[in-house]
Amino acid sequence: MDKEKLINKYFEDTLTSEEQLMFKSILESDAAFAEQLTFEKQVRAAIHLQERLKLKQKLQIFENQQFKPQNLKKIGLVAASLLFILTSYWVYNLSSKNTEKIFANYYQAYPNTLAPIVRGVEEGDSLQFVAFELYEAKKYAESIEIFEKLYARNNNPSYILYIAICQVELQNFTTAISTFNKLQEEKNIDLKASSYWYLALIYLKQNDKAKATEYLQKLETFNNAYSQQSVEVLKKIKD
Amino acid sequence: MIDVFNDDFIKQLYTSNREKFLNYCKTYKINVGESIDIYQDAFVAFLEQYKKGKLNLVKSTPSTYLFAIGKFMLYTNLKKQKKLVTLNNEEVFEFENFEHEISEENYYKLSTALSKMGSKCMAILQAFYYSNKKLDQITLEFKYENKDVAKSQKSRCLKQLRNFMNNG
Repeated sequence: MDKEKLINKYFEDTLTSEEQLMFKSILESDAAFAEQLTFEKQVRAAIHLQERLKLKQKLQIFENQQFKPQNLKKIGLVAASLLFILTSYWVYNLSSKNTEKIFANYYQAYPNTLAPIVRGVEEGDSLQFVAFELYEAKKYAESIEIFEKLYARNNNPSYILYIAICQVELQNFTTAISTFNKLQEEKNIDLKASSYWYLALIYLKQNDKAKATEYLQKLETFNNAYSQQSVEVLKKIKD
Repeated sequence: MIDVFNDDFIKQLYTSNREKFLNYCKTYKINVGESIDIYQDAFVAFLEQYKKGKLNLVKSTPSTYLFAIGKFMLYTNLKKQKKLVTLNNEEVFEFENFEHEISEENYYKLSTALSKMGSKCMAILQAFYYSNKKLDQITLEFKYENKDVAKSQKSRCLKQLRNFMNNG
């Protein structure tokens, strides 16, 4: 029996006892056979793990759509997750005036709210899925590459936000500032607000209080999840 | 693959067991967020077994299975190894955790490589490795001339996948 057939039967769980013996002996003596089996096991594992993650993301969206309180539904998933992150910081009592510390205490990588909610992404198009998997696994350099490809494909400005966050995570602050600047003229108010917020934090990190204040004051007028946060940070800068 | 949003069976099953499961978790003093997380993991595992045709739905209802998996996930940590899920103390099925079969690095390489595959190859690989379909079934479902054609098609797809994985 050819070796490929043996491996296929192994995965089908249809090896006869005689074939099982043959399988075992080839596995011990034939390195190429063992390597092929390992590779296929990895393919099986990767497909399972990927599929589980996709299903879980879908259930999370379904859960949010069906069971979240009405007022949260209205604000939308993005705002809800932002609100969650920000409120968890409200209880955080900052004691330091150090701007570096303010950055450390307030900075949080923007959550992956895009992958599960963007509509019009075909089921087969998993490039975005991979980008967010890398993003969530903190593999920022790799995910920038994919976000750039995705942006080139459909010019969705949300990708710019994620690219900029990756740059912050990689400590490339100057590059991050120019990337965030691209979002300043953005019509989408959430993206605009996010860019102001992160720019303010980066300037704080660089101890440029004047620039940080400028963006925080702009945010005060937005009346969204960032506004209250901005008031708080502004107060800390002045203290 | 499984379409959560357009499948009434899935939505209905999720909704009708959710409250009951969350209440069950409450007796173990587990907070709602964590309970929902466990419930969703259990639901994913249920859908996987369902897709593989491993559940005996004549003997037990989908809800019974779902609840058994949920309870199991509540009690034990599935992270590391293969475990057996017991149903009504008699029926047992295997739930495999595949994380030990692949390193993190290879998982990302393979995920990226898989995203570059054409839809036909992806469908064959998913049918064979995820849905546990035998080459005979694949031959019929994909309308191949015979089993050898299915076999060589699968082999070609694996070669392509390996190329994507090694050459980026």
